[in-house]
Amino acid sequence: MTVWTPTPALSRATVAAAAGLVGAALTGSPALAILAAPFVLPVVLGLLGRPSSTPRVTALLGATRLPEGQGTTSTLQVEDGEEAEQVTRVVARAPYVVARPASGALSVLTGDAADSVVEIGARRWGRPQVGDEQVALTSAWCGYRWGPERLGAQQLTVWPLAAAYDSTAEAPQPDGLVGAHRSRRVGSGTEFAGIRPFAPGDRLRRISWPVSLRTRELQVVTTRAEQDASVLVVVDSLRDIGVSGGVDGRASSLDLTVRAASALADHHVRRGDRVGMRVVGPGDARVPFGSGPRHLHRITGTLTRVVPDTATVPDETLELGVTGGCVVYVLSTMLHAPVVNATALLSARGVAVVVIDTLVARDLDELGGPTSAAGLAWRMRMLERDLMLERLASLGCPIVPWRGPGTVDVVLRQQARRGQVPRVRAR
Amino acid sequence: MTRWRTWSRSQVACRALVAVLPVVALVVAPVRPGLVVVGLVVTCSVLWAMFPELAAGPVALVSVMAWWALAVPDPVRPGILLAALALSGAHVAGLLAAYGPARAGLDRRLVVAWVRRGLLAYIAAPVAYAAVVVLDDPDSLMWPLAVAVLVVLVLVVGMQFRQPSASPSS
Repeated sequence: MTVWTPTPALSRATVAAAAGLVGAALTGSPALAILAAPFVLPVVLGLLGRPSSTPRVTALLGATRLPEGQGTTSTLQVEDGEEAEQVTRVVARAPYVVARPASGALSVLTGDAADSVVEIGARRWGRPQVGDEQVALTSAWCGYRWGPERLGAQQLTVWPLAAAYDSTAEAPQPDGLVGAHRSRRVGSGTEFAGIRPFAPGDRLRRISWPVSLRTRELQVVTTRAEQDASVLVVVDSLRDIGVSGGVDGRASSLDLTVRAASALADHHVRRGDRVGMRVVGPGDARVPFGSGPRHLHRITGTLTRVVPDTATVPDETLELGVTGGCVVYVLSTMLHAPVVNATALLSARGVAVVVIDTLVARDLDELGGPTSAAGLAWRMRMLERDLMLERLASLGCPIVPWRGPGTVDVVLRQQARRGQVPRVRAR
Repeated sequence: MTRWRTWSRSQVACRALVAVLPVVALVVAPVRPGLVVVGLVVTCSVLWAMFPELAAGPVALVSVMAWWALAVPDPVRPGILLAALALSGAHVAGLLAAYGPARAGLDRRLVVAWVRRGLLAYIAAPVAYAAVVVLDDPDSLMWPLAVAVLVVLVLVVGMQFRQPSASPSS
């Protein structure tokens, strides 16, 4: 248990005062008494101010969940610490977490609780451990010190900042019941499909009276059904290429992937689509198809747990478990064969797949130049990747780099047109 | 200690005072100190400044005090008050530096409170000086009495200021 112990300052003043006064008394030197005199008062008051209480300190985070780029506060609560005059807090530094004061350490009087607040800002999505700190209290006249007491870290959930994204393209294969996408089927939507003769069962309000009068036969207006779509977002976290500079800095490939996945999920959930997610990497997280704000929250929460794999990626077949009638967004660097093969397999089965390339451009100078070992390895890897992407494209799988709004509009429209053409599916 | 650039300005100022003031207490003496003494004090002061909780601090203080008592002829001059102020200042600066890590900035109110306390504690030095001058008696038996009076005086003054010391405005 942490107890109050004399500070080195009290010990130093005691030694100086005692040595001076005792020396003056023994040797009769007045200089020693004069020089030692200023140390007597701090010693006496420090000793008299010996605390008897047992403080309890806790650090409370203002919020444990926040979007990246925003911050919260860590407030220190001291119970039974009335005898403490001063508090020192030293907060451990965590990756992509900034603190104010920037040093993460502060030493203030305990008079105003607002002064012992450490502001914490999250610079990158994820689940950083914050609040791992050491706290020390000092009694009046710096006589006794309690601590340093270590306070455990708390987990902060930092949601990815959804990249700016919007899309006007409709899902190529809407397969749900009701939604915002125009279906190929005729149904009870609002989009005009055609005019045909009246048949038993048609609603009277569908009758087009002008046409019926011209043709002297009852004609009804047909419309296209409106359906929702199933969207699967595949997040490739097998590697994180590049260096992340946080929310305001450079984006690594995983930054781009996670923020794009968040943006896509947000967009489709708001449109009423059913969105699922599969994380290819450590944990193999899966979020089943669902809709609504709560489901979006679940997807975003899963994205905060995404971490890059560090082990060798086995060259095994990856089954994404996708059925027909689903749009699949593969957010990947396309550097690993399992992801490329799984994408090719889906594309060959007629599933609408869009590969969103999240590999960030790397400066070869950062790798030691184009002829360095790392530079050569990277260039060879890029050649292999280009070859794989070329083969994938030859299967009809569109590959687009992530560029925010409208990234997938063109390819989704192309896929919608292609979906209306009869085709033979490989199974 | 090795990451100088991460030190806060207030910590740098405190540690500079810790390193310099004990030497100042030597310099204000009417005689020039020997190299051994200077070397010892400088070494201890620098170590004290780098590690404010190290035992080098008391060694530096006691070394200066001992040198004043043993090597300075007729030390009871006004210059000794400057030496006492320098030693007291070094102690306060070392105390402030030890409140937290070197990268932690010091609370302005804490510094102001300690400057006031240091000056309050320093009052004992002129009082002792005056007592020495008034009680300038060759009889050495007077000294224990003088020291006892000084201690009682400090205790009385200290008890008066004990309660306000808990608040920053004291």
